[in-house]
Amino acid sequence: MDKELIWADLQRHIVEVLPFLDGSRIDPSARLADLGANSVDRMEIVTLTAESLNSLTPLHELATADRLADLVELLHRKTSVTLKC
Amino acid sequence: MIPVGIEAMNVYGGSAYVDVVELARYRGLDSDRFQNLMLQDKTVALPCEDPVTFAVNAARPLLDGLGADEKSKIELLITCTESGIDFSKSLSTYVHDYLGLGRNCRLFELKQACYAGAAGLQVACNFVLSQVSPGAKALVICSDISRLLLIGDGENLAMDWSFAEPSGGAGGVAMLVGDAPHIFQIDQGASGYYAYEVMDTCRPVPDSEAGDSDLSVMSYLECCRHAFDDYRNRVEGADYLQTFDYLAFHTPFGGMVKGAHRTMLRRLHRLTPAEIEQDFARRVTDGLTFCQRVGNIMGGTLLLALAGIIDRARIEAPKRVGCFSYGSGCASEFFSGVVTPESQRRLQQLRIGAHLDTRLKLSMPEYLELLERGKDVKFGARDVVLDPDMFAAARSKRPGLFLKEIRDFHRQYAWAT
Repeated sequence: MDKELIWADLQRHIVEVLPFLDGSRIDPSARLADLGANSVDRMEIVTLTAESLNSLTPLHELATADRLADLVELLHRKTSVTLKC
Repeated sequence: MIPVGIEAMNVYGGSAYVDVVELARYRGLDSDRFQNLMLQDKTVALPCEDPVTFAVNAARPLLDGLGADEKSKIELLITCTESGIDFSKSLSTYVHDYLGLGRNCRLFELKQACYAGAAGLQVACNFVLSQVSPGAKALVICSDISRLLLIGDGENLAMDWSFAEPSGGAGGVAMLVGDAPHIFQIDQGASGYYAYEVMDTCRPVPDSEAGDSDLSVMSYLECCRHAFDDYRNRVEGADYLQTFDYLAFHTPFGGMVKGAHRTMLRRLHRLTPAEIEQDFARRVTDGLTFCQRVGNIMGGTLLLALAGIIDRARIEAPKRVGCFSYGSGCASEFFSGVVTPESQRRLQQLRIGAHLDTRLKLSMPEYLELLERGKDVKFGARDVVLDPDMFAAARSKRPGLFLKEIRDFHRQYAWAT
């Protein structure tokens, strides 16, 4: 899956959990905590994104991502492909 | 096969507590997002309280309810803790002594972070099921305190704060395990396990905790998923939504349980947010009853959640409770059991909630003084005489065992009436 699509999906879920943010101005070099997300918010954002992308990466491996760009990289490595006929 | 499970159970939630929202505000860490953590109060251990006193005070009421003959049937005592006071001598040696248990008894301590309580319960149940000593009972006591100093650089401290100081509580949960499981009858063989090595949270040096809160949350979720999958592989027809009337989770803080439950339902049943919210209110909330008042008591927290359900939930007929235990490092188990109206009647007699009401509410200055005084009884304290007047107002509300003195590393306790 394209990293741009993953990034777009992540941004969408960040704004879903933190609606006070302007999605277009999220910096990929930021950390979720820098955006104002607490532990529960961070859990929600990561799990929602992983679910919508059908990520095959174990959740505790996704937790090793430091910045948003690192998370995109981890998600990119192991997403399942949905075959369309 | 004979029935097995918890015959009697009690929770000791200490004698003093702090309002966690107030603590957060005092630390300057309150925010608009704080509410979704679902933190309320937490028990704070006095300097004259330690894991031995919490254990003994949890178990004492159970033993007072036994005749001498029944008490002599306790052949196994397991203390489950990550707050050990000695690298060799287990809490169970002191607990055995102050509870006046018979000498023909196995006793030892069990450690695997917050999984210890579930592990102890299952080991005890298997002892009973083995029938190597027919009629024998086991006493399993979870006991933990959070007299901790954080490890970590300044930047990480703020991030991990939501996982450490405001959630760490203190408490004891005692369970008499045998073949007359009035409180909770274990579904035999219905267990799913999931474990692997991960460095999420730990206590690598005495009186301290290190960790990565995000890693721990994610590891918890990963384990919840796979432990339940293992449970389903063993239990034909098991369904997360249909099989369990109630769900008890290891509860570091309420918000995490809500998130874990939400994640499970989204993955397994694709429920809408509104449906998930409804299910949480119906099947999970009762388990937060005591957890939100006492805080995270590590190995005993899952059993504290179970106690909350048995005490408060609607149990007009036998109900099946699904239980998930997670211990950092990590190890986890999903198991289940049945509770009945009799379970509720018996547990309510112990008036756990009413006893929590008697705790002294600490002001912030009192809480900070208590943290400071706690250093006098840090791990390895050799010779200490506890001031009997310190926090006397808290102690006077609760009769029970208190630490009186440490002499040449040996702990000496006294009963306060």
